[in-house]
Amino acid sequence: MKTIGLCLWLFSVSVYATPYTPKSADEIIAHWAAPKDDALQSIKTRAHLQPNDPAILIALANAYLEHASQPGQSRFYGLAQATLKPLIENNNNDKSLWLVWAQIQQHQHNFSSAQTALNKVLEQEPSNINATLLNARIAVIQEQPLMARNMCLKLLGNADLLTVSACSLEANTYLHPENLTSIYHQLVDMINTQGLPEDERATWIIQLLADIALRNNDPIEAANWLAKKLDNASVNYLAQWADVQLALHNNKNVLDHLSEIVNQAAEMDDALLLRLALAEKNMAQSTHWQTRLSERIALREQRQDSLHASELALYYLDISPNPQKSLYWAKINIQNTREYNDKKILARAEQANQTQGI
Amino acid sequence: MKKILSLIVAVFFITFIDATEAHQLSTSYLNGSFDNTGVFIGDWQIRLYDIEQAIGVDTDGDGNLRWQELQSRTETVSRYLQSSLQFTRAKTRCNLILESDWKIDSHYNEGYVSVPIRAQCPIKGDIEIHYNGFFDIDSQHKLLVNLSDQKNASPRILSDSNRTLSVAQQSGSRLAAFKEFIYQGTVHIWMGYDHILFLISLLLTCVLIREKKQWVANKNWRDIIVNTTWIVTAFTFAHSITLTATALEWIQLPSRWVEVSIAVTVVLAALNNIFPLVLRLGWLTFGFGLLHGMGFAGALGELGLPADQQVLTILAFNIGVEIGQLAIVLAVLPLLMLARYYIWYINISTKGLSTIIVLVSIQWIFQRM
Repeated sequence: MKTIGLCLWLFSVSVYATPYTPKSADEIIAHWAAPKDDALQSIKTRAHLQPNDPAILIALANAYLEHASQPGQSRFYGLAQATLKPLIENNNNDKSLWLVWAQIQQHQHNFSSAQTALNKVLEQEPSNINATLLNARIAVIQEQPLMARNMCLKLLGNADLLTVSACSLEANTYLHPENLTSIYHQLVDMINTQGLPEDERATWIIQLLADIALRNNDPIEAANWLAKKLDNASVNYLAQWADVQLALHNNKNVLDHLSEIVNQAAEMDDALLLRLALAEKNMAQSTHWQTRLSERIALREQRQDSLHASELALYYLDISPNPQKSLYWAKINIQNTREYNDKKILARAEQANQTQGI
Repeated sequence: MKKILSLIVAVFFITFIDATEAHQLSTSYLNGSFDNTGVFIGDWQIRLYDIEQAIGVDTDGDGNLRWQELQSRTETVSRYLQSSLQFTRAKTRCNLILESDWKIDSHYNEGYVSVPIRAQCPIKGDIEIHYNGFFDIDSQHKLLVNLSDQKNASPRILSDSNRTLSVAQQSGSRLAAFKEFIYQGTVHIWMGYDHILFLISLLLTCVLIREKKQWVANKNWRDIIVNTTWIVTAFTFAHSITLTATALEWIQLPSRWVEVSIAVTVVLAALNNIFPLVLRLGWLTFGFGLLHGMGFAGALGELGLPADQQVLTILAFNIGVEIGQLAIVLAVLPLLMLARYYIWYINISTKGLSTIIVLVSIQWIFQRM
């Protein structure tokens, strides 16, 4: 019955392009995934009953963030931000609040807000590992690898050697890009000796190794690393995996794996949609994902969602070539994030414009 | 501690390649235009999922929002929407009305409700749109504003960090506003069946006189004209007073009781044709007209008064009501004058019509209580 209802709803919203008045009171006019996570619902209920309790609000924001990285769930970043905003505006001094806030701001590319928040944590606890790691990450994004490495080295004595090494080696890949092979092997040797950690650091290190490998023009090695944790992977992980597969021209792999995930997710993620469209275009068999992506891009442009500037630039480079627009968005992107991929996008956009004689 | 570290690292690595992360699209749309009477007319399209997150409309929580579920929460949704959007002009708040004819629409495969809106603003001054909807549940929410009278303009965007939009708009025309409210006044009396039936009840016996406790035709047409003029003038004078006083909020009575009272006046006016207790209708009409004026003010309130043209627009509306009223009198009175000599007019039409008017009005009384 629910399936029929859903089908009727899908039919109705796709057929009726203009506003209409439903004829039946039972007509389904919108559909969303019914809440399944009892733990999240429980915290939401507690937050509703005690809307002014900072501890509950922070717990709720953390619960949102746990979901946010998964396919179809990134709306939880906005929910987390909205949840914590009253506490931030009241200048609550809880360092756990500022740590969560920093994560959200970093994700939203509000890097200066993130750094301000992290400084509030470090003022209270200078040896806070999480704050230091996040600070170093932001420094890398902001093209300050030396500062990042110094932050990583401050963790010596507080964090384990693997954590410190991974952090500082990442900074080194930007300080000494000519030594990518050596840096890569240093980290691989550590993993071979100690093994991958059993916690979430494993995924972090895998992604780091894959990134270095790909930048070192070894996509096969990158693919081997990313294959280790592909089940229940985050959107970011899946996007990186797809980039490597596309570099290997494994377009069918991308379509097969990501289509299923995106079709099952409550909502589409632009990063996955982009990779699907790229793979589909490379195979030149259909335009399903390209159509979906173009609709999403249109809305992004209407909303002037500059956080998605890199995706918009890639869309106009690879899916629907428009050198002027690709350069416009690439320039917006580079103002905020200046990692290897961001510079590559800008270089490609500039090249495309030069080729067109613009 | 380990869990916190894990969580941080989890978030850390998910932002490893920041450029690839995606976000969801909580978006509303405001479409419309300002006319030269200071009125904004348009529609506001809101994502149903956002309404669910803000207020909760999926009453059975099954993830399928039905039309009836939304309709059952119309009042709550309206209150939330009213508190989320505001128009001001020359720093004066405009009267925002959400019309009742909601429809369903779709954007990018998501269900939306389309709410027609109307905002009556002053006709001069800088316009601002203030928006604070849904940011407390999703900081990524945005309102895209399309003003169709802004040629070749891209949508304007209101977001959590930018909640006010200034709109360059030419000052409206006082004359245009004046004409518009004359029109509205005329239309409103023609749509006000209780006012029309009250007027007709009075007119039915304007062409008659009482002789030996019977209605007979008044043979003096000049007398009829003068009589009618007095009655219409009394009605006009009375409802103008209370229309003005109510519109300017000098007097405020509960609208429900005003509407009931108006229906009572119609009953009494029609009953008086059947059982004539009052033959000098002037004062009666004046008294009842005071109530009718409050009813007209209610209709004017729905339109909204431009704050910088209040007196003029009330005057214009009043003139419109008089024009509409005059049109009714000019249409009906000649017919009644022609028919007054016929027995069927006195015995059947006057009493029969009056009886029907009484019955209809009694029904209104019960409906409005």
